[in-house]
Amino acid sequence: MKRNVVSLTIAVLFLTLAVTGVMGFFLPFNILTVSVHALLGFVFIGSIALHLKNNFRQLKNYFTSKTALLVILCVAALVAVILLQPKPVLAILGLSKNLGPAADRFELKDTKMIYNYTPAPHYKMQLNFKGGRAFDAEKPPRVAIWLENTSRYHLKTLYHSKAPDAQQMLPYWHYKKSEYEKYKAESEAAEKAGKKQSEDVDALSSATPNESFDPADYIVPKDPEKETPYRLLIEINAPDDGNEHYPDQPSLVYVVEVDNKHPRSYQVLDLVGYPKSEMDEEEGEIEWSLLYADGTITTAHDLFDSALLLIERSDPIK
Amino acid sequence: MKRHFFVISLLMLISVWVFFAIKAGEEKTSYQSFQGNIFGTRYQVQYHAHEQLDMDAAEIQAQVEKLLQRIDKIASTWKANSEISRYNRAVAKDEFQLSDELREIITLSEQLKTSTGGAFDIHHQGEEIDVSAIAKGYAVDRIAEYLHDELAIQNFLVEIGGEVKARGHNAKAEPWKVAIYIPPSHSHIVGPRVTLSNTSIATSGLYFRENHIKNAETGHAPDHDLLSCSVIHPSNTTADALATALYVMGAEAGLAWADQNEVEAIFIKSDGSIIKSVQAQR
Repeated sequence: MKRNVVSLTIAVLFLTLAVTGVMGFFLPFNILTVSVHALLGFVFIGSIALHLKNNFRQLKNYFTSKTALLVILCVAALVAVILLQPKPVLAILGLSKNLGPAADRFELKDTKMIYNYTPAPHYKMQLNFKGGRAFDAEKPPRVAIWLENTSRYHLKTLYHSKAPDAQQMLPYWHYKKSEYEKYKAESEAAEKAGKKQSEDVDALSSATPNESFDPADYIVPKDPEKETPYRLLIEINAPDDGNEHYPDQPSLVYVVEVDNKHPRSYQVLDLVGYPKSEMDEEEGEIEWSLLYADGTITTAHDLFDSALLLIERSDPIK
Repeated sequence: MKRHFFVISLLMLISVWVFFAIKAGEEKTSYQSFQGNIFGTRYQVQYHAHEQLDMDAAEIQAQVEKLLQRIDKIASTWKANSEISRYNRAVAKDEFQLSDELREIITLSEQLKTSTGGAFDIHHQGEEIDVSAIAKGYAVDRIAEYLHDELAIQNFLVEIGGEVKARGHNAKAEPWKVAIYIPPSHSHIVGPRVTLSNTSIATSGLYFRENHIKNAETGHAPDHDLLSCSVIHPSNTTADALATALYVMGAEAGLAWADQNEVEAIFIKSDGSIIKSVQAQR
């Protein structure tokens, strides 16, 4: 292929990869960005192969010089530093909004469901649900898994079923997530206003602001010695499981509290109740709360025999 | 020769400049600060590290967090195993062994309930208590006490979730300046500023968390046009509780109470008007 075509292709591809690479690092995970970056990456490799072919003689000369050895050593050293992940590298990686989803996986099997989440290289979380009598992998239950802070604000949805009726069948999670989105927007606006108002003073006196909405502050806090308790919740609902009390039994919500200051490898999730809505007359809004799952709930209790949270932690400082 | 003289002069000039730059840096860094999360909100501490102080900021922060976590373990209604949660579950409350801290908070709360005619009340649902409206102020006082009494720090500012206590002066050798926060929904209002030295300020309002302040009589959030109420008082525990009580009362009744009890209070109404008690105008 003509040199000018190859060179121009490489230049344009490089620009596209640079933009999508930076977007992929700093912005939340987006399948379109990653698709463009990954697939054009292969085209880029092909173009580079043509470029190498066109410039083979010059490159051969370059690689016989001492500079080549120096460049190879420098690149090898950089790779080694990134692999060892010392604090400065972790700090740079911490700027990314997009490193978690790569290790985020939900598996539905005949008799169980497993959810794996790895928010940091040294912190692996696995939720293990052993199916009960009512569990049917052919008609999988709708599931949402999320984290809450101590003020019971939703922090992050780790997983939710992609079925079109998921929001309707998992109303508590959907309510919590909607509230979170509203509060997060308010909190960000409040923080911006606070920063502006505190520019030329030493402090601001205010009503109590909310704590951090950043899940990383709880799951993988900068100081592992600090108490950063958070709750992991799961809402689960089997379709078409009516009984004599309900045409379709409501979802059930299970919870486990995690505190990295007091690490435990295994924790069992406890049933906290089923969601029920009521109208808040003052606000004119529908509010959801959890009620005790009494005898009217029957087979929904048997969706799984056990729900276990496993956390594998290792020293974050290498 | 001329050239050598020029080089030597230049080096001397650079040395003098570096010396003063380092000194200026030392002056500047003698004020330290740290921050973190506690009680479901944020905190910050700024202080002047005097020459005799043999602890660095990280060591002081560790001690401060120990204090905060102790209070959290006592007063957090969120934690099932906290002292207050166990107290609330206890059937025979008279036999429950209260810690000194919780006893102090309850005693002061009861006094403030009486003096505010029930506007400040830690009781919910019968005998159950919730000290969230006073615990942050109490924690601010305990940290201030630690910095001053144990570390002999004379210039500091402590803030937990908008409750602030300050002593001495800031890095510019001026009294600490604190602005009363205005939420973005009311950005047309300019938040009043106060200077604090050996005193504290606490603010109550519903702009961050709806419905967390309730009128004990009605069980609902106060229905008035008050955006916030701030109280300036040497004890942040008292300031915290009174800010809630006066917010519940509303601007008119709150102002009357503050004037009668000679309390510095600043009320900000939703229309932007700022009303100060007689004490706060001085």
